[in-house]
Amino acid sequence: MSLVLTFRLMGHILVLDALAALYLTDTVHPAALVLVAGLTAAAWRPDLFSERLGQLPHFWELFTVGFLIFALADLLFLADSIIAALLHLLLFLVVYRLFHARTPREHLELVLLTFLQLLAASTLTASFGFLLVFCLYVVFAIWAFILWDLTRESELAACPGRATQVMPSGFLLSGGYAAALALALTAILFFFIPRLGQAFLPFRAPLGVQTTGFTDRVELGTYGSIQTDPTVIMRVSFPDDPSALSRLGDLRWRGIALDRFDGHTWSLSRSDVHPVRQAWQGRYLIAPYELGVPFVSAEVFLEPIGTTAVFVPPRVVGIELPLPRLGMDTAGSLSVPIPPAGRIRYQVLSQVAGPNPGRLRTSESPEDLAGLRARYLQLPALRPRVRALAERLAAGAATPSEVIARAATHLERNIRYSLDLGRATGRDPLEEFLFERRTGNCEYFASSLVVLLRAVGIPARLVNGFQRGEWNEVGQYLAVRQRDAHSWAEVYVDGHWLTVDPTPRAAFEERAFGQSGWIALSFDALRWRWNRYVVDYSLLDQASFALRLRQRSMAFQSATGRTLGQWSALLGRGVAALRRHARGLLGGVALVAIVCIALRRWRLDALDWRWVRRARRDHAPVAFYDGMLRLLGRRGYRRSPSTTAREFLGTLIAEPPLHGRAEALTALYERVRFGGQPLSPMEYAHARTTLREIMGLPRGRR
Amino acid sequence: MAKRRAQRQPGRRSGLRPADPSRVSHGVPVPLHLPTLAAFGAPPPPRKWYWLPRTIRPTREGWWFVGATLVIGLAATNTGNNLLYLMVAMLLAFLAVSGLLSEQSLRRVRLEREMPERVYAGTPAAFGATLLNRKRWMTSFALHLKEANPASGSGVHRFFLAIPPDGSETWLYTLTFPRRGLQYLPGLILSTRYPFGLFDKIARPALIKPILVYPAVRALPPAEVPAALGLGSQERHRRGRGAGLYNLRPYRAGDDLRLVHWKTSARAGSLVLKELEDEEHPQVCVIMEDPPVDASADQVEADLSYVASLAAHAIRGGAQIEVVTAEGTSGLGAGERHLDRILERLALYTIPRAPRPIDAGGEREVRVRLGRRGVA
Repeated sequence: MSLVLTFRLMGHILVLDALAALYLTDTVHPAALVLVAGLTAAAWRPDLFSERLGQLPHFWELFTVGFLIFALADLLFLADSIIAALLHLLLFLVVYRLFHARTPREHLELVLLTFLQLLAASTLTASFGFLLVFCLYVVFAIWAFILWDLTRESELAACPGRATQVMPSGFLLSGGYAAALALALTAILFFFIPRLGQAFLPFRAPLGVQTTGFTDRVELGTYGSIQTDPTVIMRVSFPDDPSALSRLGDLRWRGIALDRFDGHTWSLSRSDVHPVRQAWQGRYLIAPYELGVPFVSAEVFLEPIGTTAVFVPPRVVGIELPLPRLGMDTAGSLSVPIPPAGRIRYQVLSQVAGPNPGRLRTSESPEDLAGLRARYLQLPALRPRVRALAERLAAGAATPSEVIARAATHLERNIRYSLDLGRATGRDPLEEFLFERRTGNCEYFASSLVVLLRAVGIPARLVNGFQRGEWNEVGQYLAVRQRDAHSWAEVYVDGHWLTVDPTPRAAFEERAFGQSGWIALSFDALRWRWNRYVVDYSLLDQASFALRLRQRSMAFQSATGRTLGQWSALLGRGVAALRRHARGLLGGVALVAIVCIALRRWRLDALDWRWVRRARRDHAPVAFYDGMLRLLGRRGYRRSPSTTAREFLGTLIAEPPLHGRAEALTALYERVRFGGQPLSPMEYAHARTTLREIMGLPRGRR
Repeated sequence: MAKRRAQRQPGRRSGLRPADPSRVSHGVPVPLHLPTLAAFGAPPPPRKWYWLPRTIRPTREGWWFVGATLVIGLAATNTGNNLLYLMVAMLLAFLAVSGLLSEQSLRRVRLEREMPERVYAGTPAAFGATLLNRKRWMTSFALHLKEANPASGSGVHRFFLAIPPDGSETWLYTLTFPRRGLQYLPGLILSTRYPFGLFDKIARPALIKPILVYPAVRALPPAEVPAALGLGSQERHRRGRGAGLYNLRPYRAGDDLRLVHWKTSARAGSLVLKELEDEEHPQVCVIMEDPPVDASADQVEADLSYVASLAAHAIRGGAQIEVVTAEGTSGLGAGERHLDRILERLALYTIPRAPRPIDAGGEREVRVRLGRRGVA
């Protein structure tokens, strides 16, 4: 494939990738994106397209003017936002450029338009899918930019023919290497770029579809659809100690407490909310902590679900929330002024259950007890059967706790949990639930308990929130889903609010939902990590990382210091020992040096050690001949590589004593070298004797 | 030879020694003392340890890219949007990758230069440059090789799209040196804009070599050829390698078969060899006198070019020539090597402040006074 064609292909892929990014934003209508994608495919052969349109005069001019008029109307009246209108315009430019890109520079403009699309998408979405789109964009953009450079430079260098040639070999390797490098560097740089901005609410469009479910008025049966929705709306991790979950016991995420019941609907009678005291920027003190009770810290990521409620575990002590205000109503429910537009992240510090795990703190003072009783004993006109049931359950009970236990047990044993909330009769909902249908969801169970208790003079209230959630082993966090929405009761006993949950839903859930599969858990874990470490990455995370790094560095320094100290002590002892034996060591070193020099000088020739002889005989069968050559070399007879042994012997003819001995050794050499017959010990001894004789011969004149 | 010596030992010798006029003697060549290289042309670039091996210049696209990165970085900081930070990280990573890949492209690329035999002033000379990619795996992409042309100041340039691992590419180009003398080749500059065209990464000029530029040699019109060179060769009536027939004799083993006289051999029935008569080539002594004080430099250069052309004309015409200057003599000789010696001497001739006397002369001498050319 040629450079230009490959560059075009990369441009088209980037357009499709950028369209996928826009799809994630929910800002542009999917039909428009599909249309542009189709045009992108059609633009691969613009000549075919142009042939048909060519019959229409000034098609593109008319189309452009028409779109500009539409864009103006879009900006003023049609689009949901300015950015949506701009994105429509951007898509038009992409289409126009797709059909009018001839030169490499025009293709580059197309690539730059896709970059603008990706940039816009980055401000409009925080979806996990953006990660995939982004990675693909990096890979293909790297290739596209490299191809742009090669194409342009080939043209500038006045060799346009080269640009249309086949891509140079090694391009794919180099491009792949560059893409991998770019992705790795992007990841590193992303985590290290200092987060100087402290924007509390990121400039970001609403994330996903907001789901209703938590209001200050709850009608019986409204959770039917929500309780089957598997969408994760809250993820909770325990960064300090993942095992803390086990200490939290029967965990529920308390959202809102409702006190007023009119027979059909629960609502809050007093809407006054007082601000929670802020100890430091974003850190709120909810209640004084109890001495001797351990703390559990949980980090919560709450998706936007259209509620102002802040969900917390029981016995919450403090909360760190990056929002300027946090309020608490008279029932102890925490809330923010407006429903957050984006995902919020907050950290909750609570004390794990003490001797009475269900016991909650009360926010009421003893002076308010009369008001509390009036508020939490409110009841609509009850059906006689309901009141009679309440009185029957309370009959003979010694304490309020006994009444509570009897009522809860009655509901658990006699009524079945079900999400089928169809009304069978036109009776009062609670009467029908308790005596006719005998099935219902948690709202009915909790409402019934509160009404029964109130009927016998025990203050109680309905609480909405979420139950525990599912532990994700892969991501090590708790995933709370829409279907975990739950209602339970809080009962005022002995000056404290006690949590009582009469709903027998555990068996039902196990049967209805089962456990999430490994793939689902892994995918959700990935999504959580994306949210936790990318979308919600903050200066605090960087500071925490720096702190951990510093701690590890100090630990490393300390360990290194200890090791160095040990080595230093060892070295000191070694030096001291050296000093003590300095003379002997110096003598030894000198001796070794002398021996080495001597060996190098004499090259073991003069040594007559038996082992050396044996080694020579075994490993160097013609060493005696080499020795002869060295000795003769000292006398000026040097054998060149092109000279045979016999020819060399001929050069010694002028010195008969030398010649005779050399002749004997040459004969031995030829026999060993070419005949393959090693020397016998006797012959070896003879050869060495001959060598010594040569060494002892007086030097003649050459 | 002198050129080769200068390349081997640049700057080893001291400056040009003014020759003692008393030492100038006709016919005895005086060794040529090369000047230091710094005396001619631009000095070589300093090679200090703190010099960075590359120069990096952003291109127009590079400036735009950096500007866009800053703007998006500002937006990310202002909004705190982490996905904008991700975009900024991507752009910064692109910058880093650009730096790494461009370095990868330039690294382990070896340059070799091929020099012409002779370089004459004002005449384009053919040079060769070979790029060898010594990397084992990575291809070097988008390499530019440039060299400044001393004549025009503008450079000659070649683009190499890709050089595969262990591959090479050769580039042949011409450079024109306007002046004679010992000069520096400007140096080959290897650069790349790979991978994104954002930065121009330029390696230090390489292979800055000294080169001896001979004076311009041109074909002399007959009117400019002195009479001393117009006599032609004379036969010397003895056996030699000339053109005329000296004798015929029987062929002996080892004789050159090309000299067999076939007609006579056919008549005689045995091989007969022709012996050729020796010829005497003219011997010319060109005495080049120093220019007068008021001579124009251009005229001096033109006269030097004339002497060089004269020497070339004489040697290629088979004559023996000797060039004598106040700095010494080239000695009498013939052949291309002798011509090189003369041209080297002329290339390195420096105009003295005052003319120096030359005590030389002969029968067939050509006297050229630089700046005031008059031929005797």
